[in-house]
Amino acid sequence: MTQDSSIKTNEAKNNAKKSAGNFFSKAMIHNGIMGFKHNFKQAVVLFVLHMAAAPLTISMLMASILTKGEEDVEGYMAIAVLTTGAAALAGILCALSAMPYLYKKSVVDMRLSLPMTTLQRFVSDFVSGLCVYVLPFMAASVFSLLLTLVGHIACDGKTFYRGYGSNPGWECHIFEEYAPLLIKGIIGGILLMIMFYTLTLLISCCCGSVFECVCYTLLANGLIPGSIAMAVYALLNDVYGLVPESYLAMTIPYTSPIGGCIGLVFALQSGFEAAVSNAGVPTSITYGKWLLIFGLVTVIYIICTYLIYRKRNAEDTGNPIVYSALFHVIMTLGTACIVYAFMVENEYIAPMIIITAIIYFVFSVIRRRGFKKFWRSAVSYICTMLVCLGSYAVVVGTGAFGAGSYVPNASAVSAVYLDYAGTYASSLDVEFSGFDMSFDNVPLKITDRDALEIITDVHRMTVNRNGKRDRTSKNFEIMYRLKSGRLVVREYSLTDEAILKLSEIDMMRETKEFRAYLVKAAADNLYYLPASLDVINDSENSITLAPQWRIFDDSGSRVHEVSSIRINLLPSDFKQRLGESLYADIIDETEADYFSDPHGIMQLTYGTDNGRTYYNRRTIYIRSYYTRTLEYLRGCGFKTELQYSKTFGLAAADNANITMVSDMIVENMTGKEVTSFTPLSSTAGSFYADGFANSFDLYEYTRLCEKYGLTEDLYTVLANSYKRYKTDESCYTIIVNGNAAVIDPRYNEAAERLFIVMTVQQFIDNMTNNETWPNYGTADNRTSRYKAFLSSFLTCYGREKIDSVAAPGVSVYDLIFSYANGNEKKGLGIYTSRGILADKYTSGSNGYSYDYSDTKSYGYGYWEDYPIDEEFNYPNSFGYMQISIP
Amino acid sequence: MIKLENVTKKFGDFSALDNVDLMIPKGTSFGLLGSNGAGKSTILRLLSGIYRQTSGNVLIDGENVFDNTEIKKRVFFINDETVQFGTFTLKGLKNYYKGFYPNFSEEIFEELRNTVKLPEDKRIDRFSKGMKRQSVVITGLASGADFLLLDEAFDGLDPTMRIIVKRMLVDAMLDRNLTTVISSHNLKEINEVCDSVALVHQGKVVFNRDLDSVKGNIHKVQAAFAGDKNYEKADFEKYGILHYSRSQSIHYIIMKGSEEEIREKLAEKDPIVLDLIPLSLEEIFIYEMEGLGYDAGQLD
Repeated sequence: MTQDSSIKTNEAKNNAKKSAGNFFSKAMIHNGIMGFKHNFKQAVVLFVLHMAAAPLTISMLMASILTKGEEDVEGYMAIAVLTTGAAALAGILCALSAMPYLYKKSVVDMRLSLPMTTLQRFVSDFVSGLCVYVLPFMAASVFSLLLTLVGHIACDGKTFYRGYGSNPGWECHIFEEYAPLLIKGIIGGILLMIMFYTLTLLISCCCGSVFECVCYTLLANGLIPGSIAMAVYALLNDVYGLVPESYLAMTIPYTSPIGGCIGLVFALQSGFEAAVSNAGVPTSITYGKWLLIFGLVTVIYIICTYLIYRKRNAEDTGNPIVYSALFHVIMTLGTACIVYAFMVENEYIAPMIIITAIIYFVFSVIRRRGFKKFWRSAVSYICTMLVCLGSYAVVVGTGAFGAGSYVPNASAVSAVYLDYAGTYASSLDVEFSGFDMSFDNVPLKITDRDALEIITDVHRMTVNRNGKRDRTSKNFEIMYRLKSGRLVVREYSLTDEAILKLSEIDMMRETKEFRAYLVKAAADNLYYLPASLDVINDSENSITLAPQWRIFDDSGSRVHEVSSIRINLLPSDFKQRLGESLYADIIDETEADYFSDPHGIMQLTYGTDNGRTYYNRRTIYIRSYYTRTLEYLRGCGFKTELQYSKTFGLAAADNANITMVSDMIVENMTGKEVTSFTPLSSTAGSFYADGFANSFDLYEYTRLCEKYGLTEDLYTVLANSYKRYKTDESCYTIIVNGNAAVIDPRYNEAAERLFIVMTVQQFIDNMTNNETWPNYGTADNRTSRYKAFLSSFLTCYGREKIDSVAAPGVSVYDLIFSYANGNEKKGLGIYTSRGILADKYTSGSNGYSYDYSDTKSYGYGYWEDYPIDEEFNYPNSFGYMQISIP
Repeated sequence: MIKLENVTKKFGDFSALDNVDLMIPKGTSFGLLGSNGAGKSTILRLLSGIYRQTSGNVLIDGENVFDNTEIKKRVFFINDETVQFGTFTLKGLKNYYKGFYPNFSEEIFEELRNTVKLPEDKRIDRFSKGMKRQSVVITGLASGADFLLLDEAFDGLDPTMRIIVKRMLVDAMLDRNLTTVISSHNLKEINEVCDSVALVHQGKVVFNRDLDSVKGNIHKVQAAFAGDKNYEKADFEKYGILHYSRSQSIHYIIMKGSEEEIREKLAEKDPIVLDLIPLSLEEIFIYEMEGLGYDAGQLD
């Protein structure tokens, strides 16, 4: 130990012993009081700002309720946001005013010569400044609570309604929901303010001038969450299976005031939704957890602040940067933020280097107040860049140190949460258009050991496949709660084998109960019956039972039967009884029921059904085997046998977006069971299986049926398609306005006619109209997939079913395959904006190793541009094709 | 008693104080002399617990000062600035320091305030420079501290007020054995108020003695020698002279030592005329500093 350090240690020990007995000395308390008095004007200003926020807004909300919505509160909301923001930012001012000797030389002697220890001075100054900052907020919060109490008296126990337009959807009770939420918000707000204030002091202790204090405080507040976000996205984006968002949720809400704001909102929201839905929401951010961790991090910040404060010397005041570590930390965070932002896209390396270098050197010049020792800045910059890029290489190279391929042992898992209600089911069986109660946030919780084994097996199968993340498709998220308390979140695209494996849990108790719970919850929230019925109009005020396809003709009239009853004519316990019936039906459903619903479904709907636009509509699907529910509905007066009219097919062709899929041509599909389930639609399913990514879900074409006289076929197909269906036979899937359904294979013939027409018409359109290519995957393999599709198509249907007469002597078959025979004039052509891009075969027998790009050579052939103005005459152009329907 | 033992204070690479030893007996009025940047203010800030020494011990009554509240309650530091008190009124300033210094005497404060006739409720930043200085000095004197540290304390005071403030200091020293440490470039004030002085130069204490001893130990010599003895500066350097000049046959020499010692040394040169004139403190300072290589001529 050096003489210097031994002296300091002994000195500190001796003085600490003396001070330990009377830590809360009169001088210290006096110092705190004087500090508060000195900055009292700031507190007054802050109080005014806070009073213009929550209390004012609450007053206006009450006025809005009492005047039935005539008072618009949005303006006051804007004022509240602005004033709260200003008051929050004032934390910098309060912190700097509490310890002016950190940056103002003239007060150093006066303040540091006072008879207090360093700790006493820190505590009293810290607390007095914090009081100036926080007490006005607390005072305004008391006003807010008092106002809500007044609101309770004035507004008959309800403070506000949450609804859509004139339709109040949900009432909020003060003591049960609003007041606890407000109190939680106030406590969270205080904690946020403490962290912001502490962070400012922490930075100020590392700086010696006002400019640096303010500048670095603002930078730190932005860069802590910013660099974490960028680092997580950049580092984990390329590690298959990891969910960057889950890592963000573990870090950002707890480490900075801005992140804390986000965390608090999520924490309050999750608790809020849990209160509404009475369901445990296993989000990674809960209020208690946020409060605890954020509080601990704040305490760590306070301790760090004190340690730096204690180490800091009086003579440091006036130096721009007292501890150069601050500069390096901030610059590393800033550089990392920019570098990782670029790394997310893995491009623009040169701009990244230029931008980071400019920023780095500008700050270096500011720090050194000139260009002295500039070479050091260059070295620092290079080191910073190496750290950023090196960390990226290490994390990606090691698969985030093995995290990407980690599969927990089932015995170590206490629960798994899945956004999943069954492989062969649509995810929730409910649809709340325009009024999302966030049921999607409530996942399935699995604790059953057998089910856990299945899920970890599915996970292992997926990891072993070592797939590449496909961010364009809907992925499957698994959230494990380990027995150790750790939360592990992974996201993959599942193979069809994995989906089959996962489907083994579908009929297990927890999955069924979860499905039943969701549907019952949907029934409970199907509609809101306000005290005064005149606030909603009749059209919105009915429950309607309809078939699964809701199609309207050109005049907006339905082309199917519906059964509709006004809410006020329904039993008062309708929602409850409906929910109970649904729950019981789902619990009792058999495997045969679940995997096949040959009689189809109906939809029970509340809300406006305005032609093609669904406005504020909520729907529950009623399965044919929901005997209790159907019986109850019939008892209420609903007609449950509903038919389509004969104009149904034409209306659908005219007004619906229809896509057809044939499992006969889908690549990589194994097992008929999988091909027949219907999760292709984003609104209907949970998965986007890799097998389907290779499929040909053909694009919308609305007038095909009329053009080719197939409306009868479309009627047949729609009337015999089911959202749940399982069969061993090959069959078709139809997607109408995003809703997928399997077509009964007994009607394969009609489906096939439709499919062929749509397929070939799409092919023609793609070739001649430069339509956007359908979902073939990435640009580099479009052509090969297109070839694969047509090859499969012709294998299935034969060339005789389609024929082209546009370019004389050129058949579709020839168009597709003749290029492989060395016939240059009959090569495959693809339309581009510059003309027909045709494959000009030169030699060899495997000439389809080409790419969809501009003119260049590949393999045995190459592409050339041909003008399109002579498309009928030019031997390599397609012109258009006529279809001869078999 | 104030004691600095081997105290070093570094600001980065720069040593403001380098192994300084200093002892100031209780009840004395001690003056710190030195050039700009010599380390006087650093010593005062170490004594008031503002600075932490890099090494060594800064002791008051045997205890280290830094972070020692009991000692700091007995020390009041008045620095050369008053801007920090600007937002206070005199009454506010009194109330502010009253909470920190348990022996603060409102009676003394009022008595001194009445003496200098300062308004109680006017903000200090509206005072003149001298009035600001008076405000701080009377607060320090009323604080009840045993050790009053003044950095350029008389700066800005008019001659009358200087006398009043000096009288206040002297009275406090006599009444309650107050120890004052005064750093000033105004050597006249030091001369009038202080019992002992220390000369600090480039972070080191050149001397630390009582004022009479300082004055008696350095003299200005006016000497003339017989015409055949044409002495020059080099002939006197063996006596440790601080300064030498000559005007025709008269030699002016500044030498350290008592009157007897100097006469004895110069007797061997056989002077015709030998007059010894005592120096003022200012002259001593200038010649001592010149001896250390810090003179105006060198700066030219």
